[in-house]
Amino acid sequence: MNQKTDNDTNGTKNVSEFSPSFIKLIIALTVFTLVLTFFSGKIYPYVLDFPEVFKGGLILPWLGAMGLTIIQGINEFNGQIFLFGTQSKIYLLVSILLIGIVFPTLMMFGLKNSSQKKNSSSEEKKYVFYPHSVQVILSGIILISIFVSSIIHFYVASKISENMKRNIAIEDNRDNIVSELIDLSNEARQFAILPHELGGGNGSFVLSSKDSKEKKYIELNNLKSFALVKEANYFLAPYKSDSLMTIVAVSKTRCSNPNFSNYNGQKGFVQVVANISKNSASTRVESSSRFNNAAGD
Amino acid sequence: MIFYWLFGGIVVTTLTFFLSIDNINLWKSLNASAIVALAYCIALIIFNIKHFPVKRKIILVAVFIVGVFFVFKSWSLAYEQSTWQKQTLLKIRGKISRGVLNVRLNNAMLQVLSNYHSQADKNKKSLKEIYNELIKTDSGFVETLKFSQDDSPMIFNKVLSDTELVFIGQEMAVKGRNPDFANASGKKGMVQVRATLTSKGVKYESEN
Repeated sequence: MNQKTDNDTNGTKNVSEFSPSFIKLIIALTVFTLVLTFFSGKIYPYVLDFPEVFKGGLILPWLGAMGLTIIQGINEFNGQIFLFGTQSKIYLLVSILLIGIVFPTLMMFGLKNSSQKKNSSSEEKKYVFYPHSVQVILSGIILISIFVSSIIHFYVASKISENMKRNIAIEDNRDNIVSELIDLSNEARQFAILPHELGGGNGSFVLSSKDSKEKKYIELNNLKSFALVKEANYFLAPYKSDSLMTIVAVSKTRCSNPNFSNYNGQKGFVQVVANISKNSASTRVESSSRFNNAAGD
Repeated sequence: MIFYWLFGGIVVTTLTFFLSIDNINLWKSLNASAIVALAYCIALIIFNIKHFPVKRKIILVAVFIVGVFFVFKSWSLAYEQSTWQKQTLLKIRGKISRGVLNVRLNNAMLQVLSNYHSQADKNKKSLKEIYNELIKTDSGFVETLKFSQDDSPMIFNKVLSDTELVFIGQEMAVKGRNPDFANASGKKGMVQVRATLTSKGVKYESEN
């Protein structure tokens, strides 16, 4: 009917591939894209100026929500109360509407129309491209790219997640050991501060004994908090002086250096050392170069 | 027909999204609206598939099932990972707070105890007198107990008597174990520790 024909050099007629409505749609889409391209700076701030975390993730709302949840965690880590704003909610809603409603609908009705066109006997059947072809192609590309992105994300993120959990478990164990050592140190320091009459060491780590002539030092079993430790195996290093106590903690978790020689003869386990005197205590992680370059690695 | 479908789908999904909205947890509304969108897609396929040739039907259903499977896997991984990361961050923050409070309070208390027991028996000063003396003369001691305004933890001296000193250390923005715990500052549910010093030693408790 509206079919456009051209005469070639031999005088035969060639049928156009594009239906008139398809050409109109392509022109409209081109104009729309050009307007967006040239006036994006002016349009976006008035429409939706998405934060950095959303950019590129409009078709994958779950990744946007993931970013927002982590930002929320970081804010709460810094002691700030974080509530999700209207912008975040609109972003997620638009994303879910696009991938869950708009593109699947365009795709299905586009396919349906193309099936009906194939079966119809009308004159328009002679064209190759109709408006529904654009529907099918655009929504098809987007939906397939969502599926492909999901597959890539699933495999990459699974690996990252495993590594992250393993590293956090090591860090967690190390922090818990330091915490247990601080409790042991506080109790040992208190022993050194208290006079003999109150069951202390009167300025040293020597146990008061009236009968024995042999000097006896406080042992880990004498500290109440030793009964509560569970993160590592704790050892008391031989006393070098009456006023200096050294506790070595060898974890059950492996450290990043498999060749690190532990105090108890093992190899490659997290090791933390506490040096305690009456006036101060310090802890040192020996099995990790991040904490101490002098020892270990 | 397409406009009715689009209109219906958008309205139902938007309603579900806003009815399940939570300002603290975005996943609730996102998950709820995703379930509605999935139901919509299934209905859309059932309604339209009868017009397709058999081969196209099979391809479409297969692509849909595989696609939804991987979207679900990626979605649940993103949910699990981000929630875990957030919880881990908060756990680490709580641990840091408790560690800082533990070290600072114990150091201050043990310094008072050490000065107390270092005195000659004659004219022995009380714990309160030693504490007041340290506050006036020892800048290091003051630093141990004082937090800058930017720091979240606070230390309150609850009891200052000759025989007993009680200090409360509290986080102003880090949640503790019990959300209903009444903190010393008047806040609720924050990390709080208590250190009690007598001449026999320090008793340190994690209250929340």
